[in-house]
Amino acid sequence: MAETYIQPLEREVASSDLGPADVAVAVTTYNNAATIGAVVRAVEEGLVGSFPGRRALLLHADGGSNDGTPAVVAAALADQSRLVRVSLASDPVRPAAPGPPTRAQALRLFFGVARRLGVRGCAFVNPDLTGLEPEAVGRLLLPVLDRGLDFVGPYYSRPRFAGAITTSIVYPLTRALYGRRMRYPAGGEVACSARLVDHCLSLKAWSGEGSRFATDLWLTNRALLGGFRLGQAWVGHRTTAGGGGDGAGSDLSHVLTSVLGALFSEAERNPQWQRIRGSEPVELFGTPEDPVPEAPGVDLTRSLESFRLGQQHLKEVWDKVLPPMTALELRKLARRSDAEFRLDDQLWARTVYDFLLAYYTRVMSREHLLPAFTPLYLGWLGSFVSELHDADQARIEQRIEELCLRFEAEKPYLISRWRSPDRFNP
Amino acid sequence: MWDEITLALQQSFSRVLSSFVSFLPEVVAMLAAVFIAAVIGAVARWVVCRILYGLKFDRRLDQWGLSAIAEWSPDHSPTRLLGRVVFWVFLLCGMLVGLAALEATLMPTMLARLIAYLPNVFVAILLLLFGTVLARFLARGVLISAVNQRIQSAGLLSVGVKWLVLILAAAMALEHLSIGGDILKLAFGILFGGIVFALALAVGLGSKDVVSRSWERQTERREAPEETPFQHL
Repeated sequence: MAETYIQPLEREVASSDLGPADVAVAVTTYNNAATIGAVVRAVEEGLVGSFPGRRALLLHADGGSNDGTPAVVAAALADQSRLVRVSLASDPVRPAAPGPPTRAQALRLFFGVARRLGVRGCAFVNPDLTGLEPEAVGRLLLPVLDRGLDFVGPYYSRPRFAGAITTSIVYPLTRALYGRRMRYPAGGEVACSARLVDHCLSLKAWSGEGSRFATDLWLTNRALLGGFRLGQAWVGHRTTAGGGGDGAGSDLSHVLTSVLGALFSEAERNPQWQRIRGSEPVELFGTPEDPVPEAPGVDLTRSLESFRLGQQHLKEVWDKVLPPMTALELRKLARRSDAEFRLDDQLWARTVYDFLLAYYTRVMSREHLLPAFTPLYLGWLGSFVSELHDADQARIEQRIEELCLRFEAEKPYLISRWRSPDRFNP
Repeated sequence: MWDEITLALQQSFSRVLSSFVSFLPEVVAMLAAVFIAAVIGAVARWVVCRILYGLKFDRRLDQWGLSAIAEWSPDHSPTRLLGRVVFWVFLLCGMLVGLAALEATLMPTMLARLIAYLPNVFVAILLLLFGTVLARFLARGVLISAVNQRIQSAGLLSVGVKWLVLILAAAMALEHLSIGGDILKLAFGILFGGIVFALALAVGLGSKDVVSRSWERQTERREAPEETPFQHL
């Protein structure tokens, strides 16, 4: 087996042994034997098909899997000379500990390796993605190599209501704050140019530690705020094998807390979003396929029950965060029947902004603030599903666009309260 | 006879009057001390309140997670609470000075006992303060978690946790003040033990069907193939 082990930040000679490369795809694993084979095959096929005659490598870092993941990776590759194993122990910031490597740790290492190898484009894929198409590798990396883009984010085809946190909070908020229409700002499958890699490596401090989502969002925001050229590429149907911090199989409140924490802390650290108005489209490479298979549905009754339970018991917490009018609107909403339950876009946008403001002004412990948002999100989800249960994908996308425009329209409200948190707000 | 009675009355009146006259300056001194202390206390309260309002003390306290103090405060304002504490400290000092003016020997004894007791009071106040903050923090955390878990009696659970911690803090504070003695420990033990026993009985007898059904569901879930959950992210 012609595997090459390098420790990028300690042994300069190792990378020179490998010689220069044009592109690289990086993947981090920890007990992903069930899914990694398909991912590696798709990546290799994509590299061969999209970059003939160019030197393309697969960078792999494993966090000490005990299910034979490294062997599966090696077995799935037809050309073993492509494989570069990266040791996680060489991370100077956080030496490897047993268990899955953090996203930030892996990113830092891969960036270091990419720079030493001199690659012009480096892509990242998640090891548990089961719907990755080989062509997606080319769609992610070709705009970087041939069109001079610096960051290409993912665009997925998903079942109608799947990814509701992204639909209701992540996409509208990121778009309104930073002014670019990146549909999946923390998708995980991304490609970066050498320029962006250098920029990230030149940063003295890396935030975005913690969840995978936080790191992915951090990287996207560096591209958004650093004046880099952006694009997004259709990478296929998004169906993860489970876990992975996407809300599947894990506690919703925990996922939501992690997502909101990452979004809000980025907004707190990068106040330049206050100068941005409106939003600009981001070019999409590839055409999303329709139709997408239906996913498990949302239990509407349970969602609305959770909202009403929150309204009943968390009044004291919400009243600290929300202005009186917003709190009153939510109280009225809780009294409506399931069929009439509609959470207005303006009310939702302001509620999200009010929580962001409460996070910024620390009106209460953040450990309490963020989980207290869960019933509100479930209320939005119930309203969205109830309104669009018969709608097709196009109508849903149109509805999401309306929501995003409302977030943009309400941004002056956020800016005004951000600058004068003590001013009375009815 | 009458003259003797008159003389006795005059003498007793004169004795009372002279003792009152001799005592009067001390009373006046005491009242003056209390009055001056009250005036100084009021001025100090005003100054402290102005400074704390300027520093947005109430909001900062809220941000530091000490909003529980507001519950104890007049008009829910910790600034006003601190103002009142400052006023009463001055007034207490004035009263001590006044008492010393009344009885010169009283002061050293009282002061010595007061000083010896002060650390206990200080620790008791700290315990109460910490207990209240902790009770509020835990109660809110339990409330939010319970609501997110869709537990209908989330409020009851939260109130239970809050009072449990408050009672514990109050018992510890009273013990530090040497109030209640063994009765307090005994009462607390009976109360705490009673709650735990009641809970054990409730789970063991009243909820045994619920527990067994829940256990069955857990076992079935482990055996049955996992259903794909809704993807929120």
